[in-house]
Amino acid sequence: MSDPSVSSHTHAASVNDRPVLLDVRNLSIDYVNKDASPAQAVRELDFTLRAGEVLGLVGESGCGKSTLMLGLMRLLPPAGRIVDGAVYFQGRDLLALSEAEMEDVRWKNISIIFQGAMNALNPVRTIGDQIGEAIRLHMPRQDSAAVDARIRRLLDLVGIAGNRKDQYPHQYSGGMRQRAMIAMALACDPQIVIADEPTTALDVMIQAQILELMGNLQKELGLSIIFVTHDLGVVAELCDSVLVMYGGVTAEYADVDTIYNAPRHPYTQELLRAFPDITRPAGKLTSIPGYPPRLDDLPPGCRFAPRCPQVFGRCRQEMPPIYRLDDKHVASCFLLEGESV
Amino acid sequence: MRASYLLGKLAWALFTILFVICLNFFLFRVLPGDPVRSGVRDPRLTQEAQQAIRERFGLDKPVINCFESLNPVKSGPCLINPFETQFFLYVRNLLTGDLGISYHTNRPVSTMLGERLWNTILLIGAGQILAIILGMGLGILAAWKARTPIDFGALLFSLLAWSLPTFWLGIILLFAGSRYFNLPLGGMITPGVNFPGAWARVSDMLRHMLLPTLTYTIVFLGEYMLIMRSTLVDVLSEDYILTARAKGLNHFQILKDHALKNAMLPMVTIIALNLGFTVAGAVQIETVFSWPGLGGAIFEAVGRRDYPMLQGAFLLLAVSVIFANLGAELLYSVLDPRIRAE
Amino acid sequence: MESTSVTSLGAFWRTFRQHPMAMIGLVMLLIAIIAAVCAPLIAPYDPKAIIRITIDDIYTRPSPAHWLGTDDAGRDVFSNFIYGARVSLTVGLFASIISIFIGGTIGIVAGFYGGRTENILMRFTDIMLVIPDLPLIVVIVALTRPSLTNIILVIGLLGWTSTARLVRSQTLSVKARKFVLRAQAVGASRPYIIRRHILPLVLPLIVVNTVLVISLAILNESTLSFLGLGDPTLLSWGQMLNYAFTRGAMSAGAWWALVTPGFGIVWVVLGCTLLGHGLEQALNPRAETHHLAQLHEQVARPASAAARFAGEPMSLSSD
Ligand SMILES: Nc1ncnc2c1ncn2[C@@H]1O[C@H](COP(=O)(O)OP(=O)(O)OP(=O)(O)O)[C@@H](O)[C@H]1O
Ligand SMILES: [Mg+2]
Repeated sequence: MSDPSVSSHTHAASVNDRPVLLDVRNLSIDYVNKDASPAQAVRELDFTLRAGEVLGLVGESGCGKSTLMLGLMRLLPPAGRIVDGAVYFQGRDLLALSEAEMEDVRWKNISIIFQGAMNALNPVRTIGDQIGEAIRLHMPRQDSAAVDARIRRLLDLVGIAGNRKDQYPHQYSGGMRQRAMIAMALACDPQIVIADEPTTALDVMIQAQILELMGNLQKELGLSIIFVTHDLGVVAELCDSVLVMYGGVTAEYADVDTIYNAPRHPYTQELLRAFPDITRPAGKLTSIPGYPPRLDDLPPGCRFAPRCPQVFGRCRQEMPPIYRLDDKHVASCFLLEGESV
Repeated sequence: MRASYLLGKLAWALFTILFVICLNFFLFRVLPGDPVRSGVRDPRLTQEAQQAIRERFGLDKPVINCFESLNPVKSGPCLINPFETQFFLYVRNLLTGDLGISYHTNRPVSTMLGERLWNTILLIGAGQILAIILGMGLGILAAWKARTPIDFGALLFSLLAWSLPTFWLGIILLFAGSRYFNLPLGGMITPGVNFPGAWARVSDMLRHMLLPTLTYTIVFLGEYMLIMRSTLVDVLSEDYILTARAKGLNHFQILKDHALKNAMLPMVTIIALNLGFTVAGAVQIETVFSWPGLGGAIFEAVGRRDYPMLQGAFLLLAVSVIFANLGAELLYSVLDPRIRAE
Repeated sequence: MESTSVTSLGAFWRTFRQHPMAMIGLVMLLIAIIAAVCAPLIAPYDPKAIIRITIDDIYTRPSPAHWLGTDDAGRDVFSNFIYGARVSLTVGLFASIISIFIGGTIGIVAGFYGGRTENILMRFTDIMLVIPDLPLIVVIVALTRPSLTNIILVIGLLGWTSTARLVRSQTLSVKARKFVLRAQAVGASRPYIIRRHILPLVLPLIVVNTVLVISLAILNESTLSFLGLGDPTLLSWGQMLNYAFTRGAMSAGAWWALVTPGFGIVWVVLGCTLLGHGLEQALNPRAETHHLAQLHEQVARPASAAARFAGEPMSLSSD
C-alpha cells in the first residue's frame, strides 16, 4: 500500500523550523438554514501553516474543504456561521477583528484562488484593471505608472504577455484566466495563498501547466500555500504536509511522507488504495464504496464508520478523539488508541 | 463585428418603421370607418380644403395595386401604375414631412405635432429619469438587504405601484394636489399671465409639472425596483463578487465597481422593452393633466374625430419608441465588452 | 406522460399553497369574482333602472341610502361599483384567452420547429413588441365601433407578445430534454410530441403568464374606457371614472365617485399581481441569498472560545 515512488521532499525537513504563520484552533463551522437543523460542515479542526509551507487539504467532495477555507477568510455564504475556535494569523486572532480590519487582511496577507474559477473574473472589466484594483486598494502609495508596471510584471510572472492586460476575461482561454487569477492572487505579496481546487475546470494538459507554474512560483517567492484538491498526485508533488478531512473533521494530519508511506487512518488508506498510481492524474475519488454522510444527519459515532472496512462496535457509538501519534502526526481512529503519545 | 452588429440593428429599426408606416396606412384606409374618405366630407372643412385633400392623398386613385378589392368604393383594373396609388402618395408625403391637415384646426399636422413633441419628451424624460434613479436605488437597497423587512416592504410597495392604473393615480393626485396644496388643475403654464421674468415662468411651469411627473415616477418606479432587485441578486450571487470580497473590497466598493455595471445590462434591455408602456403612461397622464403633448393629442384627436392628427400622433409615437429602442441597443453594446470588443 | 403533468401540477399546487402572497391574491380575485357573479344580490340598486332625479341627487355624499354616495346622474356609486366588476373581469378573461392562445401557439411553434419558421415568427413578435400597445389599441377602437366584443378582440389580439417570447424560450429548454429527444429519435410525430411532452411542461409557465396578461388586459380596458372609448352601453370602472372626471366630480369634491372605481381596478389588478408573483416564486423557487447578504453574524463563537486559546497563540501543533 505504501508507494516506493513517493520520495521525501527535499525541503520538508527545514519547513518545520520556520515560524508559524497561521494557527487554526478547534475551528467549527455550521450552516444554519431555516426549518432545518444546522449542518455541521466543519468540526474542531486544528492545523498550522508555517512560512514557505505547502499544506495539502484532501477529502471527498462535500467534506467541508471549501467551507474551511472560506471560514479562514470569513467569507462564508450567508448561511455559514463560525461557532467555535480561533484563527491566529501571525499571532492575531482573525475571528476577533472587525469587518474593516478583516478587509485589510484579505488579499494583502491571505489571498485565494477559487474552485472552478471560470466566473471568478468580472466579465465587464479588463484583467489589468481587476489586478490593479487589488494593488491600489492594499498598496495605496503607488502611482498609476507603478501600478501599471506591477500589473505587467505579475502577468509576465504567470506567462501572459503584458499587453494583454487591457483585454476582457472572455478574450482569454480557460487556462489563461486561471493564470490571471494566480497573478491577481500574488498582486499584493501575500504571505498565504489558498488554492481551492484551482485546476478542476481545466483539461489535463493545462492542469499540468498550472500546477507546474504554482510549484515554481511557490519556490521562487517562498509562499505558503494551502492547496485544496481531490488529486493525491498533486499532493505528493507539491505539498509538505497533508490534512485529510472526512465529513468535516480531521481524519489524519501529517507530513507528506508519512501520509503516503505510513498512513494510519483507514480513510487515508482507502483513499490511497482507490488512487494507487500517483503519477496518473485522476478525477474525483469515487471508488470508495458508499457516500460521505449528510452533514445535517450525521451518524452518532465516527463519521466514517458506515463505510469503514475495519469498523467495530465502539466506532458506531462514540466519536473517536484525535490521537497524537508522534511529533507531527495525528489521526482520529479508535484503532490507534494505544499508540497515542 | 461591431460595425455589422450596429448596421444590423439599424436596418432592423428601419424595417420596423416601414412596417409601422404600412400598418398606419392600412388602419386608416381599410378599417370600417374609412376615416380619410369620410373625413373629406367633414363639414368642418371648406370645399377647397376637401378638394385639396382629395388630390393630396389621391383619394380617387386605388389604395394599392391588386388590393383594389379591399376598397370597395372604386373598382378599377388591377394592374395600374404603382406610382399612382394612394399608398405611394402617402409614403411620398411622409418623406416630405407632410402628415396632412388637422380637421380641427385646419393647420398642418406635422407643425402641431412638432409643437407637442418636446412637451412630451420633457415630461417623459423627467418622469423616467426620476423613476429610474429612485427605482434602481430602492432595488439596490432591497437586493443588498435581501430577505430582510426592508426587502419585503420594497417588494410590497412595488407590486402595489405596479397595480395602480396610471390615469387613476393621476386623478387622485390631481384631486388632492389642487384641493389641499393649491397646485394647478392642469396644463403646462398658467394661461393669460404676464410673467415678470424667466424665473417666474419656469417656476410656474415646474408647479404644473410636479404632479404629472410624480404620477409618472410612482407608476414606473415599482417595476424598475423589482427588476433591479432581481438582477442585482443574480449578479451578487456570481463568483466574481466573492472574488471581490476576498480582495478586501467593502460592500460599497463591490456594489459600485463590480455589481452595478453588470446589473445595468439587463436594466437597459428592460427599460427599452418598457418604452411602449412609457408611451401608454404619457397618453393617460397628459389626458388627466391636460398636458399639451403627443399623448394628449391622441386623446383629443379621438374625441374630435380628427383622424389626420390621430394618425400622425400614433406614427410619431411609434417611431420615437423604435428609435429609443435603437438607442438602448447601442448603449447596451457600449456597456457590454463582449459585444464591444469583438 | 399524462401522469407527469398531473403530478407536476400537484406538486405545483403544494408549493403554491406555501406562498401567502399568492393565497392572498387568489382570495382577492375570488372575492371580485363572487361580487361580479352575485352583483344583483349585493348591489342595493339596479344601475339600469330608470330613475328620476333632481339637482339635489347629483354627487350626494355617502349616506345610509347611498353607502358610497351618488354620481353625476344621481345613480348609486356602490351599485355601479359592484356591477363594474363584471365588465373588467369579462374583458380580462376573454381577452387573455385570445392572447394566451396566440402567444402560446406562436411560442411553441417557433421554439419547437426552429429554423425559418422560428425566425419569421420571432421577428414578427419583436416588431409587435416595439409598437406601443395602448396608442394602437386606442386607434383601432376609435376607428371601429367601441363595443365590448371589439374591445375584447383588440386587446386580445395585441396582447400576446410577452407570452410568445416566454413560451418560446421555455419550449426551447424543454425540447433539449432527453425524453423529447428520445421521442423524436423513435419517430413520434411532431404534433404528438408537442401535445404529450412539450405542452405539459410549458403549461405551468403559461398559467403564471395568464395572470399577468389578465391584469394587463384589465388595465387596458379601464384606460380605454377612461379615454371615452368604452362600450357606451356598459358601465365599467373605467367608464365611471370617465364620467366622474369629465362631469365635474373634481370641482364638486366628490371623492367617492373618483376613488371607488379606481379601488375596484386596483383590487383586481393587485390580486392578479400578488397571485402572479406568488405563482412565479412557486414555479422557480430561487435562492434569495447572495455573497453580500447577511442573515446573521458570521462569527458567533462562545465568549469562552476566544479566551481559551488566547494565552497560547503561535504554539506549535507539536508539544
Ligand atoms: N448554504 C449551505 N447550507 C447548508 N449546507 C451547505 C451550504 N453550503 C454548503 N453546504 C454543505 O456543506 C458541506 C461542505 O461543502 P464544501 O463546499 O465545503 O465541500 P468541499 O469539500 O469543498 O467539496 P468539493 O470538493 O465538492 O468542493 C457540503 O455537504 C454541502 O452540502
Ligand atoms: Mg470545494
